Amino acid sequence: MQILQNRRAKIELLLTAVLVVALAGCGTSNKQPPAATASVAAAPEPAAPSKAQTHPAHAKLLTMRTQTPPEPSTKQNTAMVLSQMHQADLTEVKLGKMAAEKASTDEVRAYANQLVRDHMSVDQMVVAMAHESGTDLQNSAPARRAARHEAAQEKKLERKMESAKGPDFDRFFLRQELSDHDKLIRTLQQDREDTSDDQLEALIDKTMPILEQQKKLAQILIDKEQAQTGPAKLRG
Amino acid sequence: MGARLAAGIAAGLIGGILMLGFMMIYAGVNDAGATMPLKALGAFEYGVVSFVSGPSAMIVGALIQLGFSIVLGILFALFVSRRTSIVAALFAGIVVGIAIWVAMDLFVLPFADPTMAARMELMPQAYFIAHLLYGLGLATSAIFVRAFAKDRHRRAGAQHAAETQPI
Repeated sequence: MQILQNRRAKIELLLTAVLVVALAGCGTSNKQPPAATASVAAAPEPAAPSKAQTHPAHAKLLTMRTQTPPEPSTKQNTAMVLSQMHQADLTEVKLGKMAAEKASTDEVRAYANQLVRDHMSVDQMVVAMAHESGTDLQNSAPARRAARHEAAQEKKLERKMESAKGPDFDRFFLRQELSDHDKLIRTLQQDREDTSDDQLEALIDKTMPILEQQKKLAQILIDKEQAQTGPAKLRG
Repeated sequence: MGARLAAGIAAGLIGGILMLGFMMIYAGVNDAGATMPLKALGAFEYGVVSFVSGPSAMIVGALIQLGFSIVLGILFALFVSRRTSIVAALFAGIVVGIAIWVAMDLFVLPFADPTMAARMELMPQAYFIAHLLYGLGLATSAIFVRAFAKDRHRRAGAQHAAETQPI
């Protein structure tokens, strides 16, 4: 009996240890700088002979990295991208809300509602990152530029959307979403390539699949609508 | 075996409902829409169209969640006996919950349901906590095994007494 109890105690101890190890593994924050970047920043003069000494391009890159701490241009670029993303989210939420009211089919209404929710969720992350990096999404120069640019386009679009009705509205809205998301995806892909900000890269990586899914869904709904109206048009 | 099976079903159901309920509340509070987790689960079958498929995708989502929860609950209960202490079951449940979270996050969702993977990336902490809650649900299997086994024992005793009673 005592042996049995000892065995049970051992098993419980083993399970506790596994749990502690698992939780410790999960506790690593993604806010920590990557090991490679941290070591470059901490050690300005590499002591051991490295690739940098043999390859001139690598050496130049390493010198640039070690000499330039957080560059203001990177911060400015991050602020600009965050402002663009924020403005795009606000525009999509506005258009989505309008479409949820005016759409003539349940599917387009559901798509519009999902669009609003997705962009609100993404915007929460954008705002949180802007807050962390000290970017003012309302009053900074890039924010004002992005807002001005978006506002002009938004007004035109709103006028067009207000005048459209029924299936014409659905068609117009879906096509607009398709082209908007296509543009936004391409812009963010470019931004991701250009930026050296790890946090911004992570944010874009999280956002991109959602934008791609929204684009795909818009395309599916357009195809479906065309399949339904195509034969009718032919008959007419 | 019967007691374990019933306990696994009950514990799996509790864990699955706890997990789904938590995710729905979290998504609702954070403007993602309370039905989003159901639609995201439905995307296993419907793909991205689940977001515009109405209640059918949500029902499929709920069935997928509860079905998997019950299957894993039964598997968990197979390793639980009447002698398993609640503390051990709790630890084991949490470890299994974390293991499922790792497997879903790294291997299952990115390939089987990218729609859900993208949405869960927006709420990673909640997704992790939901798996811990599922682990807690699994741990209740120790209580259920004991309760069902006792009930069976009592019924068997009563039956035996009735059979051996002098007429």
